[in-house]
Amino acid sequence: MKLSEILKEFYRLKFGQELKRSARDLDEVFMFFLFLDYFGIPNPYRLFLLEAVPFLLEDFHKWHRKMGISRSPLEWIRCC
Amino acid sequence: MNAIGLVLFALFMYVFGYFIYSKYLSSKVYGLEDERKTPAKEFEDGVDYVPTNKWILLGHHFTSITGAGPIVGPAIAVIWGWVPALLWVVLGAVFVGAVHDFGALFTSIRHKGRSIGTILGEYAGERARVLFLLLILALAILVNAVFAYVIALLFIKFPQSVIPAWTIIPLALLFGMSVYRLRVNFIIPTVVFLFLLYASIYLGTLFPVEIKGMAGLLGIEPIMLWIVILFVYTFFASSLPVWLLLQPRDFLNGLQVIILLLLIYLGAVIANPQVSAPAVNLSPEGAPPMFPFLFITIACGALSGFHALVSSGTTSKQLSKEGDARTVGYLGFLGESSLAVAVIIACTAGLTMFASDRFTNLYSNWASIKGSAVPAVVEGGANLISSLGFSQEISKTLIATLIVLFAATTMDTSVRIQRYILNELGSIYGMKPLKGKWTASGIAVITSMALVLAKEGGKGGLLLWPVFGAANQLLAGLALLVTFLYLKASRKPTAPILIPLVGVLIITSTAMAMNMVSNFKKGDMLLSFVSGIVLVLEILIILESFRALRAGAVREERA
Repeated sequence: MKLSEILKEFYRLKFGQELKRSARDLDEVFMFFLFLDYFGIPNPYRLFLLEAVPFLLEDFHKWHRKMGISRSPLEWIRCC
Repeated sequence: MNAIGLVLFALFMYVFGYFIYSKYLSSKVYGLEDERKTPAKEFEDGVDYVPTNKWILLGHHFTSITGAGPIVGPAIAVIWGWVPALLWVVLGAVFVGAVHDFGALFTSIRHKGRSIGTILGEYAGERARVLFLLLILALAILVNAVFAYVIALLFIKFPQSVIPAWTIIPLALLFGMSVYRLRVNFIIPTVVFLFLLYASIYLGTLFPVEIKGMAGLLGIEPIMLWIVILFVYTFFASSLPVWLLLQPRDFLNGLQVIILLLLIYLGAVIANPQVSAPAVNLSPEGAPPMFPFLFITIACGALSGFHALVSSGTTSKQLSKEGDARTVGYLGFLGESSLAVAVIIACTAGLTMFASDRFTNLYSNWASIKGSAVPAVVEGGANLISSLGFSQEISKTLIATLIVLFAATTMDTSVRIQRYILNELGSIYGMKPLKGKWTASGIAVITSMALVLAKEGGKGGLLLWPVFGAANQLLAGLALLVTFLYLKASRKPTAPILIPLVGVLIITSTAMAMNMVSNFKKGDMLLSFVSGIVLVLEILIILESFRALRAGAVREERA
């Protein structure tokens, strides 16, 4: 292993991981807003947010898996 | 005996521990199976769970568990002579401390990478988990009190460390941002920032910062002023997002730990000074008896419960094979222990390199070591490093700065932990104010500050060290208990865990009871009271464990 790779991994463990974690928390809040309807909360910006859905399919998949739901919880999003 | 003799003894025992004892543990006791999927593989998500190369993980784990703890403890404990301190550090590490770390890591990977507190809750119930939280809370308050005193003391005794110690804060912020923004080869920013850090150490040597004048204006002692400044800083620092200040500093600090170890050992081998401190001193003036106090004075380096938090929280989610737990958990601890050995060498051999009476001066009695033990490490370590060709002044500044940095990082982390625990207790008991970030940080800082300032001149500081050691080992006892419960549930041999567990409980409870009574007799109500709290927590935990065992709460191992 090269020194730069070692440092990179060391950086990920010491620092990058926490940064990614914070970014993920923010993304999750965004996801929550995107799928407000699913939680039974009316969403006035639904139409605007719908446009973003195709770009977020992959993230949506990761997100519902992380929430402990093994299959897509929304009928109209067939990610798995 | 010369310094090299100590190094060889430690090395021999570590080799035995890693190549023979830990192999026995992993095959016969824990039964590690490389085919079994680890949490990192099972839940791989690129953030929390990432299978990592074991040597890099070892580097990360070792530098996360190693801080100012293994520096301060041995520095005090050599007052009983170098032989008992060395034996406890080395043998304690091989047969107790490393077994504990390895066990906590193993138990965590067998429970989906969950933390020891959560696993304890599963096996012994909610009440045990609350006790666990309270113990960590007590430990965090003690850590803050002790380390604030240590840092303030170093700032007073070595004013040249003030500039570098504060310079690292903007440096860490800039480093974090530059690495994130530039996304280039890590070597460049790392080398640049390490160079800047060392340049600031040189600058500090040229311009020592004394605050006597300002303290005089305010009418308080300089050490008190530093303690207050440190807590004000910690209050704000611990409320910032973790990735902004703490993590970049952690990265730089991690490299410093390795550099410091290399320098001291190289210096010790090259200079090879005579160990001139007494081998054993059964009754130093004013000191409590060696048994049980030696064993709790040296916690980090021989047995430390705080490691279980690191092992089970972060490291366990990164192991790519079960077998790697042996290298990361066991060898990681031996790394920390080797820093404790380096400190023993610095204080008993390095210290007397140029003036044979330095040890007798600094370690004349128990009351004086609270002001002289940590400076003894700086002086002894600097003597050793100077044999590599560095000037005395720069060596002193370097070591003092590094100790300050390690202690400050620990303080930031522990105030943060206190805040999280207060938040958690707030939600368990429905107390709204505790849930707020600023209130919780405020309470955390004020309780710790009250403890250290309760005595004139911040003397609450290092007197609390043995109590901190006991609380830390009690926490280790809990992690050993969790490992024991799991091994028992999976019908595996438990003796290598049970013997240290019983030993730890006996030593910490005897020490706390003695501390409580003797300080009560002396009229030192504060120390007596704090020891009493730790003792009460200990009794409750022992009762809870018995309940967990008797009620058959030990469940069958889940596949």
